[in-house]
Amino acid sequence: MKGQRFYSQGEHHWFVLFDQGEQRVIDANVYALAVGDQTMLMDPGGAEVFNQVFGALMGVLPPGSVKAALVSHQDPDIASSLPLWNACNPRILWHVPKLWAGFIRHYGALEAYFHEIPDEGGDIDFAGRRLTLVPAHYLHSPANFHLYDPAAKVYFSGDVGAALLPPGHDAFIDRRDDDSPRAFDAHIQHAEYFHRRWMPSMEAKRDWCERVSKLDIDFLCPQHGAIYTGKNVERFIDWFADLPVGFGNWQQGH
Amino acid sequence: MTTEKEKRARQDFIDMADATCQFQLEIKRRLREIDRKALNAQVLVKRHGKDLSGYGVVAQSFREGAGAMQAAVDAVQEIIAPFMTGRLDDLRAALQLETLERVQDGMQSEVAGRCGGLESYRNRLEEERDINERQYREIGSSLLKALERFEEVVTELDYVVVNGRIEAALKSGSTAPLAQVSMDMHRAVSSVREVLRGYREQIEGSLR
Repeated sequence: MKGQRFYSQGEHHWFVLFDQGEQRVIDANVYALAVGDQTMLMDPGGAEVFNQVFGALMGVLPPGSVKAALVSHQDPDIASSLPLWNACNPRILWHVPKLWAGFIRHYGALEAYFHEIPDEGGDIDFAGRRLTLVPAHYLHSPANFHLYDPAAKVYFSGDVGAALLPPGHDAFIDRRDDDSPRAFDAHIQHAEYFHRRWMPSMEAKRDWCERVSKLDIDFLCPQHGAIYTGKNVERFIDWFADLPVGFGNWQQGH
Repeated sequence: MTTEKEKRARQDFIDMADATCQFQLEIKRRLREIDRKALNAQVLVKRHGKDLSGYGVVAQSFREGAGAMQAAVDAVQEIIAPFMTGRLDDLRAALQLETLERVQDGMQSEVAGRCGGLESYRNRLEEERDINERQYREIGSSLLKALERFEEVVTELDYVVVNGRIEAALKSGSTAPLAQVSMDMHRAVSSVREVLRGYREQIEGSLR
């Protein structure tokens, strides 16, 4: 697994940890926001890849700097490492959807320090920076949150924008020719089945596209696959808005 | 329930992970700096032609030294990964043991008596931790050896740097930049030595 910095302004940095070596479990990205000497993890990963995530993080940031983490929803590929992180530092503040808090504790974190995110989301403060927890319910989980960092224009989009890419993939969709949709078109083929199959609600999808298209986003960062930048952010939102998803739509093209 | 001893061990592990991160980032940055300065020295020699011909050997040695340091760092890096993995595996086993203890504590004694499998699983986890501990110490010793080797390479380069400074002093009439580049090189090598010493002490402490 590799670690790569993709945003840097003074003390404010964003990193992606990507391309895990273990192929028996689904490949997942972990994002790290560092402000000064404090780090917040976005979806810290599954227990089975904890060693890899920890090693990749250690290559870019001191693991002891992790003070907070967002668990966007309840899935094991993002949340089952929680007790391991918590054993490393029991003072980590975990932002978890209120609806899932009692479920997530089943991973083995009875004592973990939880901030239960209400359904409407809202702003949080991390190391003096304002971050927004954006509701993305039913995309795919019934209680699901994304995170928007308005200063860095980074939008952590959880499973939205996810693509199932082969091992050795890059952290980004090819950015060399942003004006051409060619790279996007090639990439989105790896994302289509995922969205058709995992996203259950047309209504939730439309609502999300409408809200998120109003945000100023330079990096749309999904939990699986590659990061969308520049014009590919808009291309993705448009593509997703048009995509039929949910029951009755997921088998099309397969 | 996590014991105080276990809590301390976990804090020590995080301290070591932080030190490893700092070590990796610092060494990478400083090696790049040394390589750049060695290149500067070579450019200087080229620019001043035969006036600095004696220094050419030194400049070449700087670059070779920088290459040797990179090889020594690579050797250290190769050992760091399994060293940390061993500790993470131990953390995982410790958590499983805690869970198991909670399960066993919550059982009525007659039920617990009929679950021999739990007891043997617990023994297996404890054995696993013993094996982890032994392996951790073995890998830790290898890491210390690799760090010692790295320190030797730094000492060799330091020797070249001292020669470079003497050579620069002898040619003081010809060029001030040569003295500057030698001084910069000296500082860069000394800072690597400092970083190395700090990290080695951290590892030694964790193996005590």
